[in-house]
Amino acid sequence: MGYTPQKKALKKKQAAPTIFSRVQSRWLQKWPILFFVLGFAILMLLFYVTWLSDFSQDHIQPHIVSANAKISSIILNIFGMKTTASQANLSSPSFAVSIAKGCDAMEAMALFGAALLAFPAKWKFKFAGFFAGIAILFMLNIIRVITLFLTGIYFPKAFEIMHVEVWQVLFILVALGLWIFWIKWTRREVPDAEN
Amino acid sequence: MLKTKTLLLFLLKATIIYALFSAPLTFYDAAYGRMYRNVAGMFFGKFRETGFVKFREGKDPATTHINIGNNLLIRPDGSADTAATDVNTRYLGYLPAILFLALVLASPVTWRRRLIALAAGMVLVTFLVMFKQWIFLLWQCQQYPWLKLTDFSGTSLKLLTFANNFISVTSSSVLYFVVAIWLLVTFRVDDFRTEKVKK
Repeated sequence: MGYTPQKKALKKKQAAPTIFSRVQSRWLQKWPILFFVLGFAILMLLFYVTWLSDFSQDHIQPHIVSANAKISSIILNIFGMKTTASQANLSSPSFAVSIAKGCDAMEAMALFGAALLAFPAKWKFKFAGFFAGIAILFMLNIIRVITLFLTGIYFPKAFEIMHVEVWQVLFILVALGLWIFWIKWTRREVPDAEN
Repeated sequence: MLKTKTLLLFLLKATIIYALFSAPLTFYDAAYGRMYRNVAGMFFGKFRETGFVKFREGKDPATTHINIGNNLLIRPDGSADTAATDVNTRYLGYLPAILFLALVLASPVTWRRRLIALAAGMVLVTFLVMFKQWIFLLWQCQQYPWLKLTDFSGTSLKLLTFANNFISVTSSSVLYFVVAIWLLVTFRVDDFRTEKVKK
């Protein structure tokens, strides 16, 4: 078999990819992620348009905030904290806190929901992941409210740091972790019988 | 797709790196504050057609004092009335930046990809933070009509109000977009490929 210049050129072409093929390869690697991020951003924007509307602020948000305060109060009272919940306020003889807009975990839930919906997966996985994730984040928010309330009583100086710097980011990391494990769950394939 | 151990390790590393950088040390705040004021000065030193914005260190390293003025309102003696406000650069820009840093450094990808992601992502995060600052400045101008720098009404005012509520009032919305930037600059589609379960 002869080693012709054409074969040599072909081999060289295969060995060293051109700039065009490199860009093409990069783009093929990146565009699905760009598409996902765009879908995610649009869904988050839609959430904020709905969430910041007058209707939501007047008729939906007060009920969610109130539910958070009431459930937190019930749990705190189990541990003898003698709290009362009234609308967004959670108070005890030694400390009182108001669950403000943004402290109801709805944004973290929306982040998780948008990431789930924008990701290419079967709808049965999306539904199951959505409801399980929302339930976990809701419970985590109750833990957040309780820990912040206890921080306010026992470490009042650390309240702001716990509120803004710790819990806010912890919530994002938990939502992110849930999403990554959900992807892992959806990507697993059951092996064929012959394999 | 990655192993569960790798994913848990990623979350642990990200938390530790974030905790290290978010420690309440004035050195971090002072360094970031200086950088923030320089970048914001470049973007908004000349604001709209006739305005100017001055960024100075506030009462502590994490605070930046902002003065917004209009060149047309400068008196013959060189003095001018300005709208003054303070912003917390730690909450505004530092926390989103270190969240991004923690996510990239903890990501289970090669160091080359991490460095490229850091370089590209930090630029995007800085633009995001400056966008937030821009909305804040426009909102401030709207609150002080005597500055005569903005004249929003109708739909444009509604858009500004929405943007202000969406990105400027709630501090967490920027953090969510930081996560989106991290995904965009760090990962490739191969990282999300299907895995086969071993028998």
